[in-house]
Amino acid sequence: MTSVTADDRTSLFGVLFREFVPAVRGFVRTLVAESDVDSVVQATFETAWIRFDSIPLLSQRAWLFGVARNHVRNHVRSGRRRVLLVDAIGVSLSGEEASMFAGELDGVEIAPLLAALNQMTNDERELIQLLAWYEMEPSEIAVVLGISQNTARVRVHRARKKLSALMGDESLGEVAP
Amino acid sequence: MSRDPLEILASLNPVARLAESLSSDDAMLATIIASVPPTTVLSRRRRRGVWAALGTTVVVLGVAAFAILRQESPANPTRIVCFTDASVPPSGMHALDVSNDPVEACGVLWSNGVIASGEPPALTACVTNEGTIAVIPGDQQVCAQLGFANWVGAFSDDERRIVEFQTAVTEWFGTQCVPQGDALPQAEQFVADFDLDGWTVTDSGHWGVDRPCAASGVDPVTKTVNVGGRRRSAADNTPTT
Repeated sequence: MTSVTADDRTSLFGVLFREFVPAVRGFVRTLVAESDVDSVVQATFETAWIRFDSIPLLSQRAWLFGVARNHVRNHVRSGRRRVLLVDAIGVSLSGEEASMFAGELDGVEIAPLLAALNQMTNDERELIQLLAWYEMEPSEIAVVLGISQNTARVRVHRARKKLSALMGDESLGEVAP
Repeated sequence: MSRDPLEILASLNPVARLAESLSSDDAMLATIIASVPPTTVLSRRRRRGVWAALGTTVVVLGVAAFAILRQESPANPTRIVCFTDASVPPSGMHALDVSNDPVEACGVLWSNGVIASGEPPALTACVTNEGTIAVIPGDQQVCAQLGFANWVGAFSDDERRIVEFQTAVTEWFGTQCVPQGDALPQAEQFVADFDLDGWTVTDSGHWGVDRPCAASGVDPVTKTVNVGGRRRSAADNTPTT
């Protein structure tokens, strides 16, 4: 029986790194200030390099997000993250869109959504972000957050329900856990 | 009825703009690889045992297939990758120590349920365009279907020597804290001891007060041994086996 060695992993790790470093960088940018992004991304892949054998084959992105999230929690003041999710949304808007940021986009009121997000906890916002932006299933969210799939389903249900309630429409959160 | 907040948020998705590759990524990758020591190493004795036990069978298999399919030797004989499916890139991969029978080595992972449950499918050893052996589910035609060559079926003496060299260098720098001043001369001595022609030793940097120990990386494709600084490790100063 063979075993994995660090040196034998080099080529494969390079494949993993190049495939996922953009996604991890994007994810980290929604969590920390730009000045901290590189250090968190590097720390994330250093962990991946050390624990290469442990990365689940079919959940590599979620696993890396989970590691990045842990590094953020360890090294970045949580208070900074509250604003950054809103900043991240701002990044997606440019020109005329930006001028509409506080008003409407495609006829939709954005301000209530931002206000609702700001009333949620960091964990809840991260969960909403994983759902909306990365289209993750509860099984993947479980990997990111380091929780069971059942717990992830429950938290997804609660977060959706809370977001909808904060926006004044309880019916939108009524999705079966 | 209001619009689902998740739909609104999804429409503001910044991921495409936030997720980007940078020109500095290659440097970051090199730093990571050079700064963290290998964690496990296959002993030379164990590797030799595998060679001896399985060599003849693989040579016969390689000769039988030679007349039919394009076959190549790996530019990098030190790595084996087990693909989980016949696609490029595959949905999953496992890296293994080099083995004299890559198909059998990957087959064990299938049999043990590491890759998937149930009996292993037919597996074929290919040589990827990067020069690495990849064991892929499928018959002998699967390599050509993916744009790869079939593996010749056996390792040459030179390839075995490179594997031995990599193992020795990895063990040496991975299990003790070799200071910067000693690192390059020692790596060059390994190259000389293994009588490797055309190989060079380079200093990949990253030395510092917090990175006082040498890490090594052997690249058979470029015939280069990269030596750079790494942090101290719990594995340092443990006896080599």
